[in-house]
Amino acid sequence: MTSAAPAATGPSARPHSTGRYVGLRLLQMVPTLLLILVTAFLLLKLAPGDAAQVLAGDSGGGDAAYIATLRQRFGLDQPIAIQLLLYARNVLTGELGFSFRNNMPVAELIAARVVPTLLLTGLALLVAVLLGVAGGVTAALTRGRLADRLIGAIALLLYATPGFLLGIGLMILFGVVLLWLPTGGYADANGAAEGWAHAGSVARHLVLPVVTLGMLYAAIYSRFTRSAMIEIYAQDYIRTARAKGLAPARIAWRHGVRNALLPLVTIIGLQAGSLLSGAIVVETVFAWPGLGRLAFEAVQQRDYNLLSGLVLCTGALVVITNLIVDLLYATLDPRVRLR
Amino acid sequence: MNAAPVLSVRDLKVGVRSARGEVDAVRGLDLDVARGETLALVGESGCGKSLTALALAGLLPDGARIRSGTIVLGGVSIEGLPERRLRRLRGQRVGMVFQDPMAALNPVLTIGEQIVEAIRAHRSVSRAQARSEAESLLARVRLREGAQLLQAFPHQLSGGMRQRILIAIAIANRPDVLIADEPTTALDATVQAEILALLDELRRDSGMALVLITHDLGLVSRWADRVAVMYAGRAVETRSAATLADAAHPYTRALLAARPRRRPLRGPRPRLAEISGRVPLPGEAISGCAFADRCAAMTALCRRQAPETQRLGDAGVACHHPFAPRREVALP
Repeated sequence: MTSAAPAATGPSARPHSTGRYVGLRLLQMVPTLLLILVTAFLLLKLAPGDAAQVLAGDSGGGDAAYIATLRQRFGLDQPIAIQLLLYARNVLTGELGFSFRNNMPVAELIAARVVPTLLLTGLALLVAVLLGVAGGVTAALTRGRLADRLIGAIALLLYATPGFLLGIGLMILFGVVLLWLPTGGYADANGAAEGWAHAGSVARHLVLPVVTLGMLYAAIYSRFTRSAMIEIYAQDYIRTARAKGLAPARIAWRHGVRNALLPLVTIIGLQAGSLLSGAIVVETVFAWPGLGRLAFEAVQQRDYNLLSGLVLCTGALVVITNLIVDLLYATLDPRVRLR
Repeated sequence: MNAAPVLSVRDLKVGVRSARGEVDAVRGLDLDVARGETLALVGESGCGKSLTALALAGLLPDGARIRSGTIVLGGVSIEGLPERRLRRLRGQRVGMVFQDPMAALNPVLTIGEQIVEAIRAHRSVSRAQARSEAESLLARVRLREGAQLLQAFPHQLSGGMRQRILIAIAIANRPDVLIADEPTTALDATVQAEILALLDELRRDSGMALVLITHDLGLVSRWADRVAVMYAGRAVETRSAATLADAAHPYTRALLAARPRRRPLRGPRPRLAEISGRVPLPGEAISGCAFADRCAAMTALCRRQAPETQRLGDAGVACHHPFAPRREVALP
């Protein structure tokens, strides 16, 4: 850094680039989404047999001429590149194919499951960040003392426990022994409650899955926050903050946590995919009607149409999450500029 | 000194935890700083000057602590003060400027936020009022377009500008003492003089005392009223900066002789004088005078007994065999 050119990159350089940053980031999503599309398409192609055979089989078998007609109708006789384009066109118009196992269009199946999964993973992420940051900060500030060791031990225990085991354990304790919370499902089955009653029922069903999924990530985030905070506390600007005579809590929050959020947000973005696959286990354990369980069933039933639709959908979710994380990062760190 | 000193340090010992247990890096330092004066604290790397600065501001890092001695600031001894009261001293009575301005500002907060929080940590003024104060502080450290600058982030500014902002933060609450620990070491040579001139001007205008910590003897005669030369954790010589050339302690003389000189118009550049031997490490057992091993004037007495500080004119010198004024420098 030179002291010679302070005026050139003046403070006014920032606001102009924010809009461009968002635009470029959106543009950069396109190749990733295309790649996901191709992957979903190849998954369909790699599956044994094709839609025509399945349809023919469904209608009690058919001769070769009938199958050929079907192929022609669905464009399956075209070269693979054309098929990819046809597939892309279908996807863009929201047409994801038909799930013969569920006897429903794939798009409808997924649409019904998106909200529960977003509810579960979103809340789990919130719990993980709140607990993880609180635990990590406490551990860093009490470094080497009892609280630090205790938090470290709990985090290690949680991290080492398989998700399904933690889920079943919590289910037995709170759902079976104590009878505080429902053991599974999305809402109470008896009587279709409306409005707040329904929301309350969903909320009670959410507690255990959210805690189960959130705890694992809380453990990861707490270790991460701890080491980030320790690193930050060795920085000169923390000494400046102390020299100002600020209260320790203010130093920890405004100068410590505020800076520790930067690496933490990066990690959260990287783990978006892992959070969704973690949801598969938790949704299965708690019979939660989300995308994860749908994917699990699709694999079991070899429902390739559904599976490729799910790949597309979760892939898009991860890309969108990363976009949000990038924008968040740019808001948190004034130094970030797109090159 | 006639008036009561604003900062007075007696027999300060700062212990540092190391592999060999706790060792003293500052081993009995005495200092007095009068209101409105500039004291230069000079010494080689490892002589304990930075630790002294941190101890004075109550900012010692983990593993270092004041082992003994007294620090009296504006008539109040900070010994045994609860952390709450110490915090009120920091930033209000004592301001501190550090060596590396590039790292000393929080990268994710605006300049305005960082100045305002320093003001509001000690005075209950409104945010708007603190902001306008921050703007006039920027003017006081000779930064233009303050209103715009308050919105800026540190990475958008040069090192010299950042050091000015850190000075603005340090003087935000009109401290009695400003401690500047090598404030220009990390800056370009041209910026160095500007920053020192700024510190000098602020001191003159506000009447605060300035403790300028440096390893550069060349700065002393121009910017300081008095100088304290530190060696192995003690002040071996304290005197008026104007009479520095008449230094009485052999170590001060050797430091003066080791300064780089201008190249002569004709002939080869003279070889830099050096002080043979090395500084005792913190915690290294010292019997007698700490400088004895490197001193040309060393006698058996120096080995046996640590010298007390004696008065020689306006100076305090801790040496058994001080130079008389106007004697030639003799080096081993």
